[in-house]
Amino acid sequence: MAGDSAVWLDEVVQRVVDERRIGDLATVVGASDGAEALVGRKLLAERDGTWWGSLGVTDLDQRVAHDGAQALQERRSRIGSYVVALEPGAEATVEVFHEILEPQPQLLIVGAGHIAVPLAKFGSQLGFEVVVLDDREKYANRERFPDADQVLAADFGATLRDYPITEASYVVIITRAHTYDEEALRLILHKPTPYVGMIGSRRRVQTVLRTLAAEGYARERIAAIHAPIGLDIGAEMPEEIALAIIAEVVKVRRGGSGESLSRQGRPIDF
Amino acid sequence: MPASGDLNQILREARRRVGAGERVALATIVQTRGSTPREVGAKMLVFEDGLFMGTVGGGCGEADVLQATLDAIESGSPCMLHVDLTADEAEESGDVCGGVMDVFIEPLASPTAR
Repeated sequence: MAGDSAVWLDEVVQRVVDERRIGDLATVVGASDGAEALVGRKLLAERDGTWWGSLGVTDLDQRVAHDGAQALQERRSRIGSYVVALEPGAEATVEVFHEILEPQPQLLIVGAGHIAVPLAKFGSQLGFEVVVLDDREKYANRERFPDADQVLAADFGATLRDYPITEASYVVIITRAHTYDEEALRLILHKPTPYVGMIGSRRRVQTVLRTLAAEGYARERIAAIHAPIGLDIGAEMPEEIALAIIAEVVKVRRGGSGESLSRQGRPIDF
Repeated sequence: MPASGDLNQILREARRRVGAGERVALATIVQTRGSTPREVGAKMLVFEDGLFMGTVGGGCGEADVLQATLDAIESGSPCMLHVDLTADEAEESGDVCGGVMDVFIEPLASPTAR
């Protein structure tokens, strides 16, 4: 066995689970004659090309970490083959499993109104850590959000300023007034989140976006805001709107098009 | 990719058990061909008493994986298991199985724990 499993488990749990950092856990899963001792060894590569741990051969670590950064870009686990020189004249081939470990995604719902209730349920069902924030205790409470992982009854600005928002955080802004929406956006726009959506009519959305632009926020960040929020599924009821929102979140997370599968590509002959 | 919540739970549980001095084994799907019940990265954490959490086959081919993990706990050596779910046996049992998958099985233990 490759040493003490507690060591790599500690490292992986800390980075991926606790700090919510995406990583490529590279494991030697196969080796030709002479390199069997490497099987089971691990290295955890990050997007910036740095890595933790070692597969036991220095230049192999470098190549694997390099490929790991690539695998992280594509977010696709795969097996790679590497030729290693064990000693001058003796080569072996090792199979390395590049496993993309994605942190649990977080759904941060800003505003605990009537759409937030079904949205929290859907998010929880889909494996998100659900956090609900509203400054009104009457809305932000456990009774309304039994499935949420955290319900915060606190000031929007003060809470969001320090709240850890990472590349695994999907933020849905559905407060009761555009002044709160703006306040939330100001604090979230510069964070690395892959998704920020905001509810509102095109007119209300325009007001908010113009305000932010006038304040000097980066235009490409403003343009990336999903507002009006959600996929077009003709939603009317709060539950349907929540479904349209969570569908858009999943679409962004998984890289889908949001189109009906039946309407993609060539029509099926029949 | 497995549902990340499951992954978190399995990693946490593995760490907790290994930290407490238990010997466990982890099975991970590393490659699939055809239509398999679960995807690359799906994991099953197996304990010494044969109980487990997570699944690599949703019932399909799981007996073989379970046996191999228990063997790995005993031997302390990792191995690769080739699981063929296209066999007639699977069809007879009525499982919704198919495809072929490679499952990497590794014992987890901490010599310094306890």
